Amino acid sequence: MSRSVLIPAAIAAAFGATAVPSWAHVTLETKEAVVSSTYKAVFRVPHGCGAAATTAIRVRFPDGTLSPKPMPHAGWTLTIQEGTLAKPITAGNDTVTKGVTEIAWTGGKLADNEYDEFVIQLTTPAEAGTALFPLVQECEGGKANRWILAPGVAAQSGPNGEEIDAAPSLKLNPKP
Amino acid sequence: MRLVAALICMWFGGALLAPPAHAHAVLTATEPADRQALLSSPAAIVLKFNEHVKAVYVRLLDANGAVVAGPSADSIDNDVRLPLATPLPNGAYVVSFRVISDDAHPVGGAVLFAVGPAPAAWVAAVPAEAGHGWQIATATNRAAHYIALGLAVGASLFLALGTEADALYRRRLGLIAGTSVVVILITAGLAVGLEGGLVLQSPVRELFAAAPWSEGQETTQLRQSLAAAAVALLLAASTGLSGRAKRVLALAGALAAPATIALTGHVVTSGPVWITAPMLFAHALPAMVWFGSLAPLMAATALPVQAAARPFSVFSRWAVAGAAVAVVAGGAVALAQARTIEGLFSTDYGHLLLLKVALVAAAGGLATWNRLRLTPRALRGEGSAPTALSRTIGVELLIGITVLAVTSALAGMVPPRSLALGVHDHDGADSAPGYVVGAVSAGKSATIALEPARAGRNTLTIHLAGAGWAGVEPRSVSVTLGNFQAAIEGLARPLRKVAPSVYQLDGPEFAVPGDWTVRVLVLVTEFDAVTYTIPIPVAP
Repeated sequence: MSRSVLIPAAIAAAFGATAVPSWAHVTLETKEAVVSSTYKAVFRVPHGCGAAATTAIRVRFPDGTLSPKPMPHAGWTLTIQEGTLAKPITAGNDTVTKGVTEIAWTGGKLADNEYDEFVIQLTTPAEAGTALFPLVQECEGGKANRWILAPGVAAQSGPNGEEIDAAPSLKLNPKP
Repeated sequence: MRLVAALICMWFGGALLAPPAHAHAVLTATEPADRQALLSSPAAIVLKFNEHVKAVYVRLLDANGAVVAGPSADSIDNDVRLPLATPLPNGAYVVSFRVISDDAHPVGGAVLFAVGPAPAAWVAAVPAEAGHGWQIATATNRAAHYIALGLAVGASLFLALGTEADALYRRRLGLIAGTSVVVILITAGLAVGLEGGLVLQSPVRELFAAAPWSEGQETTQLRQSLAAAAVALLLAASTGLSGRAKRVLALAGALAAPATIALTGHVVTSGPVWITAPMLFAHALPAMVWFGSLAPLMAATALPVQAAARPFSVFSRWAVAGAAVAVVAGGAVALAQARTIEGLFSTDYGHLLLLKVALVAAAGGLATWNRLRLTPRALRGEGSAPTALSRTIGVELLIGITVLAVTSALAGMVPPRSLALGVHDHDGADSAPGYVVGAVSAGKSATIALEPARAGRNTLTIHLAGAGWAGVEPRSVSVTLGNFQAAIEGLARPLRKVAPSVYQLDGPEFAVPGDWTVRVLVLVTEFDAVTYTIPIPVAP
């Protein structure tokens, strides 16, 4: 290997080790559940956007999620947005077309060096597989990390250095 | 009154002479469709256009870039057909094509399709074009042609109108007219071969091979060249005659010269030809006469005051009205080409157009100064005035030559109005050599182009097209760039929206050559994104 390749490669290795501020993502505490069961989704927020403090957490749900109920958080305003579901939920003759489309905790302040959890209780979808909870983490200074990508999709950087990365995911197992 | 009648005649004449096809050929459909996955091999590749086209080549390439079928294809009415003798094995394919429309405009492009299961991501390189050589050669030749046309028109008009001028002055004008006629004949001839080369995109050094010339004869350039040659001979004949015949021939030549320009090119094809051709004529006639007048006027400054008075008074009588017509008609033509004010600032065509306007404004300023200050002083016989006048006219002449050079470059470019059609013109007239790939993610396709794909300043264009994007308005499009060998990663940049579903990054990011990875993030809603990961090689 020539020197002209080695030096940049060494720089790349150094960058890889130091440049990325954190490998931690917003994730779910419990990563597996059974279909059509009551599940407590605990979203763990390990850091802000770069050094900026988190000011809002907004979550959407996988298709087929029933009656999500958020746990209020002191110092944060809770918003439960209802509307037409992206995909109606059917069970036999029973069809549900309206429900909660988004839950948001806003107006809080979670510094980059602090940790917090946001909790939603819900009934999991009836279909087994991987369920994604796309989540937007808004921060001071108009930044927003977006935890919205499907697993395996390469992470991206937003225009202001924000992280665009994998959505919190839940493995849904069939009923035993 | 006679002039009005002549103009009306030219209006109809222009409409009759104009080519029958009025628009760029546009690819309307293909079989297989772009990014379609077929269960089994097609029997033929069919490209459907909105008007009759002639196939220059159609190549079917496999995923490794090897030619599987082509390049000769059949043209049947509006369709171009490439039959496939043997069934294609499963895999991804690229159809790369170049056709020529009846308005002599080459149109090229590429279609991706697959046999068997659709690939997770389409990554296929479309072969780059041969380069700028033909464009530069064509533009240079066209500039020389325009300049010679203007000089010949001006010199023969002044010769015809100023019969009493002295012998040296007449000899000079005769020399200008004669040289210009020779240049017109040479450039008109060369234009045929150059147009053929532009269509074929063969190496420029093959200009004097047979192929470009036989190809060129198939284009409307042949008609334009023949007409220009006829005009040149008309003007040459006028200089040899005298009296009334001389004036009639010179005037006819002066009227016909700008009409020849209206025989080919994109300005004529931009709208109904009975509007665009006369509009172009109304712009070109006074502009050409104005430019052509500068050399005879410059020569006239050396004449004694009484003799110089006539050329100047004739010119002054028509100058203001002529300039007004040229500017108004030019403005209308420009507006039709740029379409939007934004188009003037965001495209190369627009930038050149603005340059032309600035140059014309500068020339206009000089002309005003000449007319109001220097000419009266010179005609009063003030000693230093003729020299000063000759100098400012000389500057005007240089600006005029630059304007014509810019105009000929504009004639070879695709204006924003064509880009607004969403037509991908990978044609010799407008596209730089670069790298173009198609990609599909989550049923949504994108075309990513990097131009010129060489280390340094580049334009990255992302075109979100296809059924998957119907009714979807992305919130934002950004890219993350990386080049492992150069230890560059996570270079994040927002893209600018330049047209509906077209996003662009223009900048120095691709500063080093090598294998770059472009990760495209299209934020559809706050919670939904479509991403593409594309490897792009950047040449040194």
